[in-house]
Formats: sequence, C-alpha cells, structure tokens
Amino acid sequence: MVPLPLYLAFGALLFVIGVVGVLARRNAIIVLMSIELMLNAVNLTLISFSHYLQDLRGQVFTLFVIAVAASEAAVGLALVISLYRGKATFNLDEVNLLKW
Amino acid sequence: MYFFFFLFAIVGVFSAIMVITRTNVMHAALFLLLTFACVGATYVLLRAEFLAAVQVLVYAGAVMVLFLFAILLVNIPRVMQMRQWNAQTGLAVGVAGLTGLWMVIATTQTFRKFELPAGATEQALGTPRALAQVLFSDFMLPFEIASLVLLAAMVGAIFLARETASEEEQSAPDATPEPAGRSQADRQLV
Amino acid sequence: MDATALLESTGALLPHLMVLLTGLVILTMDLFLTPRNRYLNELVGLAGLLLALILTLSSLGTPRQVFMGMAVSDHLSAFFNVTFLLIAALTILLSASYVRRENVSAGEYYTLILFATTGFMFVAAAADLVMVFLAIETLSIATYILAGLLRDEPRSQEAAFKYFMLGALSSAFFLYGIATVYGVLGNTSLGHLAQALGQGGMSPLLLMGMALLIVGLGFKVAVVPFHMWAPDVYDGAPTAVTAFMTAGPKAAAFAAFLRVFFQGFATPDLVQQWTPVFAILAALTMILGNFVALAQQSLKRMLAYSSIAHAGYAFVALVAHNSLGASSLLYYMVAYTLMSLGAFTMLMVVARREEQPYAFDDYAGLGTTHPLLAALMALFMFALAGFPPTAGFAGKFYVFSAAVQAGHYGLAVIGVLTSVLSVVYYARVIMIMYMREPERHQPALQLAPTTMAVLGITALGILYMGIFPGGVMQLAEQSVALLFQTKM
Repeated sequence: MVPLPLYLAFGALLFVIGVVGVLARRNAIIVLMSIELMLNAVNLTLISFSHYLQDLRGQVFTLFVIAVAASEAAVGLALVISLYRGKATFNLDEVNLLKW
Repeated sequence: MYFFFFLFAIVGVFSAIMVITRTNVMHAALFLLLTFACVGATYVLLRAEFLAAVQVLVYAGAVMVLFLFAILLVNIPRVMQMRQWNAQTGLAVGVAGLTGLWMVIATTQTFRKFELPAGATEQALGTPRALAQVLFSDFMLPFEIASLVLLAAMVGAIFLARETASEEEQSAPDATPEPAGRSQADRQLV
Repeated sequence: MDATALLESTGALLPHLMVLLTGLVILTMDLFLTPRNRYLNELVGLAGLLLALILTLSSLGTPRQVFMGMAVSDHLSAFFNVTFLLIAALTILLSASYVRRENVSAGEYYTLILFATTGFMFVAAAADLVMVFLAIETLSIATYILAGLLRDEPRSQEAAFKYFMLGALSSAFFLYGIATVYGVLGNTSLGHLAQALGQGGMSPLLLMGMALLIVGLGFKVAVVPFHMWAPDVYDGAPTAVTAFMTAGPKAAAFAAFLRVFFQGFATPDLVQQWTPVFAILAALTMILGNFVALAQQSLKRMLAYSSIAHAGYAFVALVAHNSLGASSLLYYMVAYTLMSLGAFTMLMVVARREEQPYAFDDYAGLGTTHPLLAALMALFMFALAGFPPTAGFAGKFYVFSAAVQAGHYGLAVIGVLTSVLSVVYYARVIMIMYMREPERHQPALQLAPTTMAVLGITALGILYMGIFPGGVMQLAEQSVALLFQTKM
C-alpha cells in the first residue's frame, strides 16, 4: 500500500503551491483560492495521519477545518466585493492607500 | 492502489499549479474545482468516505458556487490586462520551495517506522456512525464553537456585502430624515 | 458524557456563554431599535459584561477540565477572562460616541465585539489544540469584519482585506502545525502532549510542527518578522477598532502562547528548543518596532509600531520560562491594555473625525487649549515609555527582572536600551502639546460622558497599577502557579 510519506508529500506540495499563490499573485480572488488550497492541504495531511494512526480524531478535526474554511471563503469574498464596490478593481497593487 | 494515488496526486498538483498561474479567473476557478475533486478522491483512498462526500458537497458545491458568483459579480474585462504577479514573486517561490523541501525531508525522516496493521485498508474507518460517536462526545464543545464561527462569518459577510448607506440614499433619496436638531447635538460630542 | 457532567461543564463556561448571549441579544435588539433608544446597545452590552464578570468571579474554584478535556476552568483562564471583559467594556464605552459620530450600524458592531470577546475567552480556557484553533478563528473572523467597519472608507476596506489575507495565511500555517503535531504525537490535547512525548516523539517532524505553530501565532501577535500587516491594518482600521485590536487579540494570542508552550510543549528538552527562537523573535521585535516608530509622521502609525514593540517586551517574558516571567506577562497584558486603550481614545477625541491623517500637528498647543486632556495624553505617553510611577514602568521592570533571573541578560539589555530609545518618540508628542502654539482656532472639544469614563478608568488604572503593583502581581502569580506544577 501507499506509504504515508507520499500522502504527506502530496499535502506539502499543495500547501506550498498555495503559499506561493497568496504571496505572489495580485488578483484578490486568486489569493482567496490559494488560501483554500492551503486549507485543503492541511485537511489531506490530517486525514493521512488519521488513517495511519487508525484514529478518528483527525477526521473529526477535518470537519471543523472544512467549516472554518467555508466561512473564511464567505468573509473573504464579501471583503473583495466591498473593495470592488469602492474602487471597481480587485487588483491588489492598486489597493495601496496603505503602504506595504 | 499506487496507480490511483499517483493519478490523483499528479492531477491534483498539476491543477493546483494551474490555479495559481492562470490569468483568467474563471479558468483558475475551474482548476480549483478539479483540485478539490482530486483531494476528495484521495480521501476515499484513505478510507474517509464520509469526508470525501463532505468535501464534494461543501467545497465543490458551496464554496465553488460562492467563488463563481463573486467572480461573475465583479468580473471586469480589464482585469485580464493587468500584471498578474507582484514584485515579491521570486522571493515567494524561493521561500515556498525551501519550506516545501524542508517539509518533505522532515516527513521522510520520521515515518520509516509507520506501518499500518494488516488489513487496515480493507476496514472502513470513517463511517458516519463512528465519526458521529467521536464528534458528539469528545468534540462536543468544538462543535458548538464551530457554530459560533459560522455565525460570526454570516453576520460579517452580510454586513460587508449589503448596500451601503450612501448607495441607499442614491436609490431612495426621500427616506425619512432624522430630526435635524437631535443629530446635530449627537455629532458634536467626541 | 452524561447529564451531570454536561451541566457541570456548561456551568464552568457560563461567563463565555453570557458574553455570547449578550452579543446575540444585541443583534436581535437591533431589529427593533430606533435612533432614539440606541443607547440600549451599550447598556445591554455593559450589563452582559458585568454579569459575565460576576459569573467568572463566582465560579473560581478548583481547577477542572470540562467537556471531555477540551476546556479548562482555572485561575489562569479566570485572570484572562477578567482582562478580556475589561477590554470589551472599555471598548464599548469608547465606541459609544464614535459609533454615533461616524454613523456606523451599531448593532453589528457591538455584536462582533462581543463575539470576538467570546473568542478571546475560549482561547484562555482551551485545553486542546482544536479549541485553540477554533477560538482563534472566531476572534479573527470577527476582527477582520470589524476592521472593515467603515464601508464607505477605502482605507478601512483595504485594511480589512490585508488583515484577512495575512490572517488566513497564518491560520493555515497554524493548522498545518496542529496537523503535524497530531501526526507525531497522536493527540492534540495540551495536557497529554508532554506525556506522549515521553514515548519517543521528538523528531524533526515535531520540530517542524512547533515551528509552524510559532509562525501561526507569531502573526497574530505581530512579532517581527510576521509583523508586516500590523502597521497598515492598525492605521487603516477605524480608530475604535484599532484600540480593540491592539488590546484584545494580542492578549488572546499571548494566552494561546502560554497554554500551548507552557502547558503543552513543556518538557525540558522541548523548552530548550523553542526558547532561543522566542529570544530571537523578541529581540528583533523590540529593535525594529522602536526604530521604525521613530520615523513615523502619523500618530496612529506611530502607536501601531509602538504596539509591535510592546509585543516584543511581552515576548521577553515568555522567553524567561519561570514563574516571574509568566506572571509579569499577565501583568503586562493588563497594563498595556489600559495604556493602549487610553492612548487610542485620545486619538479618537483629538482627531474629531475619522478622515483626519492623525498628524502630530493636531496636538500642537493642546496644553493650553485643553489642559486636562493634554495631561492625560502625557500620562499615557509616559506610561508607554515606561516612566515610574506608571504601570508601564512596573510592567517592564517585572519583565526584564524575569529575564535577568532566567539568565537572559542580553535580552534585558536590549529591552532597556530600546525603552530608552522609545522615550524619544513618546516625548515628541508631549513637547508638541506643551511647547507649540495651537494651530488653528477650533471649537473646544466636548467629551461624551462615556469617553470621559474611559479616559478616567484607564488613567486611574495606570497610576494604581504603577504605584501599587503588588495587588495585580499577586493575582497573576496565583494564576500562573498551575503552569509550573509538576505534571500529573
């Protein structure tokens, strides 16, 4: 059967790709998608450990993470819409009233 | 088994890379959907069938629909012509690459001894009944707090996305005015 | 879990439930309130907080774990609860005039403040990493929205989005850390981490998990190098919200640090691993926070960097892994709350309206036009800089003493030197107030009674804690005693 490190590597790759997306992309919606990628990676890691430890708590925690990720997506998109309403853009580089 | 894992893993990583590199936001959204599906399929491989179902229902169903609505609501053509990557891209990729490398190394250093008991893959681990037993006993308090998180998010999202007062004035200019004297007095105190 | 256990557990968490309930009541009441009786918002809010305070004090008993080991009710959580209730009450008081002035929808505002406070309280009562995560998410989501409170003000929306982006990033790091720790130790319960470690868990993977947890929590506290979001977010958010943000989430994050690292990763070989990391973070934060504050042209931004610097001082208390260190951290949290809320309230008062750039010139000649206000501002500046007999001085004294006691002389020296440096930018405000002529002729400031109450309470609190530090310190020492008992 597939050894655990392979699952963890899959998760780590997804996580790292998400980090790049958050830090490097200018489009606010893509940043939000990258955050969802990172949270999916965490879920995958949790479930892999849960399987290899034969312990259900990892899966239960994943349920909570999914709930939180969905609510973060909702709030994030509401913020994007609110930003857009004020500036008619979601280019993060134009969102620069406050200096980085 | 290996075949399926590598199928889902490679497609998943590929579509994740597509998500962060596409210029067209709609394309990125569709690749994100594909990533969710691959991750969900991997859950099935890990005998977490209920969670795979939840993954599809919540992520592919609710979250993606939310994203698509938002994209359609605010999509403007000139987004496509702007520059897509900011100035810290190189640094971000470098840091992320190192982090990823470190993660993979740390993982393989520890788990050489991790073996599943025989026949574990054939047993169902994440059945709804078993999950419910753990969820509603050990995890009762986190369960309730999660509902608080959802409530706060709901209140906030509605608050942020509804019409602002100035937009309301534009569309309904003759709303009931407040008595002028009182609002004056209100506003002078700091 | 049977019925009696459930009742007992709920009883232990009644203060938290009270705050949550108050938030819900305000949310519902908002449907029926007219502009004339909007004061009910603040009234109900304060009444609910008072009830929660009474419940906290009356449920002080033997420390116990509730809800199947997910939460605890002990002296540490009680101390933090009282602190958080104080923060919430002061925020409600100072927001009363702000909400009317800026025409904010008050119902959601107070509800979110109370939800965030509930989150703070659950962080302090957490006994499991799952609870820490969920409580932090509650307070974070409420705070993201609060930062974007002024929907017509682009700076506010921008601040909210930046805060959300980096906050969600840090949550993901924190989560990955929890997942890794779970994988290595098979358990997320803080009490059992130390036990599970004994069975051979120490490994690169565990260290990676710990590092990720530090990154995640480090963002929340805004220590260097995870501080990038703080100046912009504190600057752009509405001032009343900034006041809340510098006090509440910071204190909650420090509570999380205490629970996770002093109760969870508490075995000696683990402590050896994370103490040097904390020391470096503390040093960097103290140095960078103070140096950059010197260069600021806006008072709000200066206070934002000063907030970062103060988090650095508090971090030193964490590095000194001893009883004095932990109790001085608690003391510092209360002291900093008072100083910060007082200073930001002054900002709110003098600026008059939100769109002001918070330039230093606003304060020119305040000594002549409004002597009492100027005196209060001077007190807050002295306290932040660490002059006796203020709480700021006592707090720094205890923190640096703890560091010296633990042998971290270098950190103590850096702390003292940077504190001296900070006097420069705090004194600047005082000089402008007393030594320059008032700029334009402006009508006299009239303070609402609630604002006066906040300024009075914070000023008196700072002086009391500075002159009689023993009282609060004793309470703090009692609260942290359980962290240093031998493990079961």
